Amino acid sequence: MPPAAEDTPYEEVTDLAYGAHAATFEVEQPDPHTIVLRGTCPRCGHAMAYRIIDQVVRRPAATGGEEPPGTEETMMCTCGAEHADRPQDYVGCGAFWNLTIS
Amino acid sequence: MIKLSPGGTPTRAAHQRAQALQRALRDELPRVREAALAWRNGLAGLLAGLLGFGLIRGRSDVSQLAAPYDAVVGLLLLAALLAGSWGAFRLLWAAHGRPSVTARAALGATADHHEAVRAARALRHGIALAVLSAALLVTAVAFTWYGPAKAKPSLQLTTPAGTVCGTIVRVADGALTLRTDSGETRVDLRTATGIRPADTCPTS
Repeated sequence: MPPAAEDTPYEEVTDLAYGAHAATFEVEQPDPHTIVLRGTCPRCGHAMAYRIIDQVVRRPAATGGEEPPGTEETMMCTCGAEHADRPQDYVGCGAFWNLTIS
Repeated sequence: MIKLSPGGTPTRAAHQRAQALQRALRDELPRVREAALAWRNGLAGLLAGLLGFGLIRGRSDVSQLAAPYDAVVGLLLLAALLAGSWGAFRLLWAAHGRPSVTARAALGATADHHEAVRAARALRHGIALAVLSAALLVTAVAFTWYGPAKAKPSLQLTTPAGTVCGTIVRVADGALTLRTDSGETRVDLRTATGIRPADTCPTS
């Protein structure tokens, strides 16, 4: 786990190692339609939580219903820290990766 | 049991979709509240317009309607009131939330999402109920305007020449003028041997 880096600028970057790191995240399932993954961002090291939800109000096209078993989810850093050069309305440091959930 | 394992290489498009989805999740509750406020104002305007429409006078007294239309209008107005009240309650709930105390166990990463889903459901119910209320109101007004009028009370006079039944037109010089099926008929009250009110005149 990398140490938290306050001065990591925003950059959209991916690495297969990010997925391997995210596979160690804690899994929380508050209800049958929701999974919350908690851990630290593999790039900036800040604490993050990532919600995977099968319904979002007024965004039905973005979800596609129930997650089938073994689905691959594109995740990204959702830390609340400030990162320079981050576009407006974006969150995180820009790191993204794929994680298989089964 | 949920298992996590590393995935393949994601695309930038998938990252942008993930950003959009997280943004939608983050903003969904304020967005539903904002939509509910707009719907509340719009539907209140619609109902106010309907009340203004009611100022274009037709018949305005339900008691002038013939049975069973008077009872039907009463039931329609009651249904409109109930639908409108419950709809307003649901819309206010969607726009402002419920004044409730939340247990600590219920607070979590998805509490806002669940509240957004509940608020969206309340908004849909509120819209449907407000439209139903407006439709019931318009139907009640239509019945009041175009429903058959209650028959006017009639008098039935018995004279040596026969029986006369009709609604009162005038009384003058000891004579009563009635509007009957065959037109106005003048009856000298001194010759009347009987007089009684009648809801409806017998058809001749």
